[in-house]
Amino acid sequence: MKTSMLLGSVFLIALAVIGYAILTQPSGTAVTYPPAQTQTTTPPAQTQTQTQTQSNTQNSGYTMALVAQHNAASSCWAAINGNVYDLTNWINQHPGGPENILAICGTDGSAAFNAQHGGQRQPAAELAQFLLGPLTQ
Amino acid sequence: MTGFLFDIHIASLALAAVGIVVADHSALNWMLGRVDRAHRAAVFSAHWFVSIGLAGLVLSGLALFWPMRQYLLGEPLFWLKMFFVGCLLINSFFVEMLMHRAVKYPFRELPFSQKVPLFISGGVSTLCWLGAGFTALALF
Repeated sequence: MKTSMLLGSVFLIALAVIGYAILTQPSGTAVTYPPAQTQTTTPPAQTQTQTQTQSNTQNSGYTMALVAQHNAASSCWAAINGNVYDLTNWINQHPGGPENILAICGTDGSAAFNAQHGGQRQPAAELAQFLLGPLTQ
Repeated sequence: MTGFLFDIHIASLALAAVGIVVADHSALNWMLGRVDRAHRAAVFSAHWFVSIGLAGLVLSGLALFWPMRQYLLGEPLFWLKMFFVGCLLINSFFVEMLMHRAVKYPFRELPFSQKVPLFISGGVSTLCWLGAGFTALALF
């Protein structure tokens, strides 16, 4: 009977937490992901940081120096396999935890990404949503 | 922090797995008639191991869920996994009732009507543990 009480309590706690999470979703709807995009498509939405630095990129493109400026949770860019991504909105949605994204903000995260997700279609598809453009030298 | 919670999650899974192996071994011996009655200490210990492991899995799972709730709530696989976990929790109440039969009566003396719930509970348990595991792998 004691194990029933233990698991009953756990069951109720789980219901309460998931219920609270559903009720307090910021947008009122769950996050959904569009189909994977190729590098040649236009990113679906631009963040504020993208708009602010758009003029910079028109001249020199997305350089590592520019990526390095976006090394915080408030503006997190990373270069992965020759492309630059704005991962700011992905930090708190990353299934593996936010710290793994924060660790590559402002850096070339190719090694970290390939080590964890190399060859996997879904992570690559999710990453493609945040594409800013090709990394330039 | 996520790494630590994930370690707790896996440790809880290992604890539950130990309980499942012990419980299945006892149940198999009882059902095959190798023993008339299942060993009480083994059955109850196994149930505790599985229960504590399952509780640890759910609680650490909730802590892991919270930072990525926006992503997970929109994933059908997450809801499928929660269905399996819910079934496991509900089934655990039935297991607690049914395991007393194994320590009191020989399996061959049970009427068919009392054997059916044992098979159903065992089947649900196997299906849901495997289902929860595979959906977790598919989800991440």
